[in-house]
Amino acid sequence: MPKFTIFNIGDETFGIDILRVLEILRVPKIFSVPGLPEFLSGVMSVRGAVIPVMDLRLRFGMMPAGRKERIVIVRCGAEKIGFLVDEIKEILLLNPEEIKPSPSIFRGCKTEYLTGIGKKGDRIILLLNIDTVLTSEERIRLQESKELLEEKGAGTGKTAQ
Amino acid sequence: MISRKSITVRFIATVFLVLLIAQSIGTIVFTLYIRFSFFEELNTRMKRSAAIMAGVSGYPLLSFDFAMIDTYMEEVANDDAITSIHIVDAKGKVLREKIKEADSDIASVNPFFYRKSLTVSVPVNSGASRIGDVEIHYSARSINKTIAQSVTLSLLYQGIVLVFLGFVMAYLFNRHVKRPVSIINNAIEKITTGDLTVSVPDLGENEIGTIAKGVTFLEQRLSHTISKINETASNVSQAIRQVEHTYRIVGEGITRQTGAVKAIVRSIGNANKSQNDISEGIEKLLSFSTENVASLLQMKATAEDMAAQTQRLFRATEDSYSVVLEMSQTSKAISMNANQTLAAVEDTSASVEEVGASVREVEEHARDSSKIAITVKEITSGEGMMSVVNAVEGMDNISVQVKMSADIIQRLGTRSVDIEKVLSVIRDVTEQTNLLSLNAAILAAQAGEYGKSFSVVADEIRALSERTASSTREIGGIVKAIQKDIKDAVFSVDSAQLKVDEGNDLVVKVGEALRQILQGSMKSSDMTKAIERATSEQVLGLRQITAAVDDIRKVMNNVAKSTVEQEGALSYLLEGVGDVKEVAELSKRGAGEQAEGTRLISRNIELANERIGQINSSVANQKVVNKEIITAIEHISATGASTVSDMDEVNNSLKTLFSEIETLKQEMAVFKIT
Repeated sequence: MPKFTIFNIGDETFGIDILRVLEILRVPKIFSVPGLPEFLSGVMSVRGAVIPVMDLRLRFGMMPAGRKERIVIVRCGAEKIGFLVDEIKEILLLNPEEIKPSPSIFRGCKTEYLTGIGKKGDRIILLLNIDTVLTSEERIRLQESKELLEEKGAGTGKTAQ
Repeated sequence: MISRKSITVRFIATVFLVLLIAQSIGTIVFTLYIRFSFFEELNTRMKRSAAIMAGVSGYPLLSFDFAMIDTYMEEVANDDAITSIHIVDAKGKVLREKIKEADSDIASVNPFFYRKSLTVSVPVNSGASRIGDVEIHYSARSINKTIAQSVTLSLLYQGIVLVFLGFVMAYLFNRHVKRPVSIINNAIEKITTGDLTVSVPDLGENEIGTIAKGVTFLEQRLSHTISKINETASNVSQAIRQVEHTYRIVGEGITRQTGAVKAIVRSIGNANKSQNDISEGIEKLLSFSTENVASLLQMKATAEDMAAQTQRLFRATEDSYSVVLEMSQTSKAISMNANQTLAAVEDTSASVEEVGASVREVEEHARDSSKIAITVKEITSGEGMMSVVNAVEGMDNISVQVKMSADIIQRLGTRSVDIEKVLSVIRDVTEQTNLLSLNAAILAAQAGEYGKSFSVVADEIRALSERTASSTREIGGIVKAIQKDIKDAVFSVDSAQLKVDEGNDLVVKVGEALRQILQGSMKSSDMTKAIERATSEQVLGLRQITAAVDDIRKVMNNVAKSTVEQEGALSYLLEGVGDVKEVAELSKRGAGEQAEGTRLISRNIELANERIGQINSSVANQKVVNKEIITAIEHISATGASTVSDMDEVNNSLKTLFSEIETLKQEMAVFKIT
């Protein structure tokens, strides 16, 4: 029985498989770094590690509700990436019969990013497929930028010492 | 209906006159023209007749065929105008003639027109030579007749036409002008008598219609003005009635005051009368004491006589006796006088007491008045001022309390901000806890079976953090509500402050009013005090008088006692008058005693006189004081009276005004208004 981290973007409720989630954070300072690909908002520093930040709201073409903001850090292949979302609601247990396969289009959203749709009572939860949120090209570019960032981080580390 | 002044009659008469004059001038011109043309025609006819006559008579004249000529003449003479025909030869001798009328007979022809007789003469020619003349005499009578006939006819015809025209004009005039004018006239007459309810009908869009509209407009304006005047008059009369009422109340008050003043004057008059009684009594006393002195002098002289007589005792024993008798009588008279004096003194004393009573009454009144003034003063200065001061203090206290409340509320406001700060910290902590719980749950899930128990703890923490968050939200709402309430409270306190300031102003005003009342009562108190002072002076004077009268009484008692002693001495003298030697000695001793007694009496009487003088002066002083009081009271009375008379004047003016308004109302009542 999989558990999901439930969060809101706009009026929609999304869920990410808890096994892919590393951490939930308040939004720290996000630095914009020259040379980063346009789908990244910037980078942040979490306990010394530099992690790129992607605004899921922009990716899904939704307006930010702006009430609360949280960062969900997920594992994406070998990399870590931070998703900027609205409020994190809870950790939810979904039974297998509560998970339905996603239709091709749901409420005007492309369903290519989804693994399925969870139904718990009246609530409908869009279950996010992290592997498809980033295209393969983006994945490569993320890798490149990661290397770039590590160089820079090494540089700053040297200057700091 | 058709009066002499009627516009129709006058207009038609004028038109008639003009037509008559025009007709006369026309007739005269016509007559002259006809006369002239007829006369020309007549002259032409006569000349032609004469020419025919001359033409036909040439040959018969030469042949002396007079019968032919006569025939012709008869023929020609048929003309009415011809009076006679004469045929004369060249020498002027009448050959033939035919006379219808002699020239001298034509006397009745109107000389206004033409001469009696006219002549036309034409020569009779035979070849180139003139053999005679034909002379025709004629008259213009026929013309006159014709003219007279035609003129008479035309005059008659014109007269008939004129009369007919006159009637037609009168009818038309009556119809178009006179009727509407009389309607307007009637309306105006009614308006003049004051009836403003009449209405003038619409008489069309001509000049008279305009006049009618003007009259209606004026009438409406007049009625409007009159109703306005009526209203104003009734308002004014009501106002006057009110003012009159007020004046009546004031007048009653003043009349009451005048009555009180009169009562005081009466009391003082009584006092004066009593004082006059005192004066009289004192004068009586004086006269009595003068009599006493005279008697004493007499007695002294008698005593001296007695001394002389003692030397000649033997010779004049009888004389002595009679002298002693005389003395005894004189002494009795003195005694009587003294008694009478005593009675007078008693009278005086009673009068003085009456005066005293009057003065005491006045004093009592003055004291009452003073008490009232003092009470007023006490009330205003004590309780009144105290109340005002209390009120001011109370208002100040309220002001301070309000300020304190405002401060407290402000502090509450700052406290609530503090609470908000704490709340935000709590909110922060709660969020942090929530995050921690979420992360813990993630970790527990990733730990699988090992993490299960930990995940329960994480859930608990999360539930706790959510509860805290909702509580914090509630607290935040409550704090917001409190802040709003505080804002309202601040606003209320501000308005309360305003009210308190207004109250303060009012209290200060009341204090001012009370101060004015206090000033007034102080003035009246001063006046009453002055009266009291004057009265107490009077009482003092009266006390002096009473003391003086008592002194007089004492002196008079002494006199009476001395007189009794003298009488005793005299009887002793009488007893021993028989014994000459003893009598001589006794006489000597008696004379000495008598001299002593006389001296005593004399001194006492002088003392009494002195006292009486003192009383007189005291009474005079008191009189002066009384006069002053009376003058003051009269002054008050006069002021009251002048106020009354002023008010009467005002009242009269008001009455006059009122009556004028009533008259105006009556005059206005004549107008009937719709």
